[in-house]
Order: sequence, then C-alpha cells, then structure tokens
Amino acid sequence: MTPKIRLKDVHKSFGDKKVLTGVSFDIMPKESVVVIGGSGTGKSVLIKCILGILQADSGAIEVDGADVTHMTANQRDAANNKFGMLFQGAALFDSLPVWENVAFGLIQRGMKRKEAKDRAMDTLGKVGLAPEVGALSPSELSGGMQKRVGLARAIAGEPEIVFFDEPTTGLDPIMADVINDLIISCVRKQGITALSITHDMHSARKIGDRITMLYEGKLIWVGKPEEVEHSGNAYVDQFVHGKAEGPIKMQLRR
Amino acid sequence: MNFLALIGRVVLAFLGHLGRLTLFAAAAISHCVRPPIYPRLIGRQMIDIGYYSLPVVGLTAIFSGMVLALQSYTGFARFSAGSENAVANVVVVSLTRELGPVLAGLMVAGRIGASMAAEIGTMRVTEQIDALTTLSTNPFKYLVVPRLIAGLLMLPFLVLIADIIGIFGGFVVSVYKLGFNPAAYISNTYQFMQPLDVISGLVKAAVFGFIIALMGCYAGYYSKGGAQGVGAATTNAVVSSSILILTFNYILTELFFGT
Repeated sequence: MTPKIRLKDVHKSFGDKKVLTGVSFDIMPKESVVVIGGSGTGKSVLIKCILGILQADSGAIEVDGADVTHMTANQRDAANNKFGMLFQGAALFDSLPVWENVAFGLIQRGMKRKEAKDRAMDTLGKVGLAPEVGALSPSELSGGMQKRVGLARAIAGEPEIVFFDEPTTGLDPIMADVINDLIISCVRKQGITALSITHDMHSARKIGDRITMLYEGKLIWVGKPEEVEHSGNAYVDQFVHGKAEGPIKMQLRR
Repeated sequence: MNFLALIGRVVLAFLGHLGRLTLFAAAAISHCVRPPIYPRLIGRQMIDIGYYSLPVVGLTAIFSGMVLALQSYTGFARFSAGSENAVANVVVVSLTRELGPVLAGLMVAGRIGASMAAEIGTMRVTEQIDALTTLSTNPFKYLVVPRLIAGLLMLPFLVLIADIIGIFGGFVVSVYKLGFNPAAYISNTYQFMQPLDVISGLVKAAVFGFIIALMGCYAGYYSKGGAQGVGAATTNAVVSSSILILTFNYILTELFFGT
C-alpha cells in the first residue's frame, strides 16, 4: 500500500542551526501518528516542510506517492486542498467572524458564500459550538473555543490529512480532553490521516495509533502508545517520565 | 580591521534587504496581473486608504494652502508692492506640483503604511499567514495585491482632493485676510495652472501610493518575533516609505521638469 505521507531523508537548517538532519518516516492512510519531542527540536518545522510553508533543504516528501518538495505554486495549492491544519495558537483570522474563518477554505475553492456558511455552521456543531458562535469575532472566544474553531476550520474542507500542532497546549485538563475526544471522533468518523505534534503525553497516548520521538533532528524511536512507557530507549524514557536527569541535557545558563 | 568588517556587514545587510525588497516587489507586481484577483478586498482597501484618509489629507492641504498664501504674500511684499498675481501663481503651482502629492504621501504613509505593517506583521507572528497557505490561498494575492492596487489608485484621488482644498485655503487667506479681489484671484489661478502641473502631481501620487503599500506590506510580511517585531516593522514601514517618497519626488520632478 502507498503511504499517505512518506518522508525520505529530509534535512532543514536555518543558517548554522541544523533542525532536521535526516528524517525518514511513512504514515499510512487513516493512521494517526503523534510526534513527541522537546521544545525547539523541530516538530513544527517538520509539519511546515510537509505543508510547503517551509522548503526542505534536501530529501523528498511524498503525498500519495507524488513528490511535493519541488512543486509549482499552483500544484502546491492543489496539493494543499488535501490538507487541514490546526495551529498551536489556532491562528484564526481576526478580521473575519468565526463562521467565515471556518468557511474560508471552502469560499476560496469557489463554493458560494451561502452554501459555505451553512457548511461552516454544521462543522461548528460537530466541534460542539452553538450556531450563535458563528457571528462572533475570534477575539471574543476563550482559548478552548478558539481551538475548537481552529479544528472546525481544519476539517471543514473534508481534508484527507490533518496536522495538529500542539492541540492541547495552554488548555485546562478537561478542555484538553474535550479537544482530544474531538480529534479522535473527527479523524475516525471522516477516515482522516492525522499527524500531530505535542509534548502532552496524555494527549499523545490518547490520539495516536503510533508515537515517534524527534530528537536532534532525527526520529529516534517509533512504537505504539502502549509501548511508550517501556520503550527501552533512554531518551524516550526521560521525556515520557519528565525527568531532569538523563541523556537529554537542557541548555541552562548557570 | 573590526571597523572595516562592521562597515562590510552593514553594506552586505543593506544589499540583502534591497535584493529581498526587489524580489518582493517583482513577485507582488507579477501577482497583480494574474488571477485570482479579490475585488471585495481591493474595495475594502480603497475605502480604508481613500475615504478614511480624507480628513487628515484635507486638513493638511487646507492649512498648507493657507500658510503658503500668507508666506508668499509677506515674502513678496519685501520686493514689490503688486504681489497679488504672484500669490495665486505660487499657491497653485506649489500645491499641484509638490505640496499636494508629498504632504498627502507622507500623511498617508504615517496612517496607512503603519497600519498595513502592523496588521500583516501581527498575522505573520500569529501564524495567520501560514494558515492562509494551508487553506490554498496565496498570501501575496490575498494580502499584498489588494493593498498595492488600492494604494496605486487612491493616492491620485486623495491628491486631487488635496489640490482643490489647498487652493481653496490659499483663496480664503488671500481674500478674507489679505483683501485680494476674489474674481481676480480665481482668474489668476486658472491662468497660471498648466495641465502638466496637475498631471505630474497625480503621477507622483500614484508612485507614492505604490511605495507606501509596498513598504507597509514588505515590513509586515517579514516581521519577526512578537510585539517588538511588529513595532519595529511599523517603524520601518513609515520611515522607509517617507524616505522613498522624498527620493522619488526628486527623481520624478527631474523627469517632468528637469532641463
């Protein structure tokens, strides 16, 4: 079976700072993969390279077997129609009301505004938001509601692949679990392939079919959620159990 | 040696910025002539730039026209008693050729250039521009092109209004304060005004409108960090567009009226 996403030896640097140093990985259709790793290890950069927001320095990124690394702008726009993305801070357009945020991608693809608004309202319902929320401005919403609107925007276009960037960061434990459940229900119901990045181990165990850890620009471990507690990898063990002592050294100035 | 290295670094950084700005401008212009175009967004920007800048540009123009009439009269009075013709001439030529486009350009740079840089800069640092890309929308077409087109079209409109208001300001001071004959003042204004004076001012305005929108979008698009980065982008947009307006004002004056 052709992987939905295939990364082959992907490298990315910013000046002298090497962020990705050879990431290779396959994500199969309808699979939910979670990438864990410390802050600044390049998890967001990895997603942005797949989405074409950043250009990988070398290596190949394939979506449904097609190389997306060197596409033209028009080809990239077409490829992006397969994607949805929930950003860490939701990244809602504050100049637009909530419903138009959710309907944005649909309108850009040529759907009539009335039809797009109806679809947006339906999608807001799927993430547990009342129709009245559609008329509000994003700045009037709480953090949890913004995440839900971001999730609605990510899934409104019925994408084949959705990326979740720190979906539960900054939320209280109950709201974080609500978001986790929404992600699971959206991904399972719509048969979406999902790639999530998080530090939140509870979330990673709950939403992932497989978990992998990014460290020093490489994926150093891959396994099932139930294996992550006893991975046998010292780096993964230290991260999962949140220990200050271990092979991962935080760069602290003393 | 360190001093030379410092100069070299500054020159290289400047050339880097210049190259990036040139590429940005080329990409923006190429997107202006390729679909999709967003008429709704262009209309919104035209209202923002044109309609909402009218009060500030109008006030600047009327006081400039009034001061110009007063200064010209007191200045010419040192040399000759019959300065009535000269005042109307100075007011109309100065306003249409220079003060109208330059003052309107600088005022709009402060109002609109800053707001464009702040809005796009905030969108950059809050990942809204990345979100546009993920929603199959080209940020250049959605954010930059409408502002460039609106700037290019609305500055000449503002300058035309500024010319009329400024000349009216000169008329008010000349007639009500200096005691000139109103009919003679209007006749002198028509007599001295050449079509090229107005046309050159409108061409300058279009160029200044493009510069203001370009620098506002450029500064915002490449802003980094958080609030501090957006603040720096806003400052850069206003300062760089003001300097470019004054530079291009000389270049265009040389092209139109240079001997």
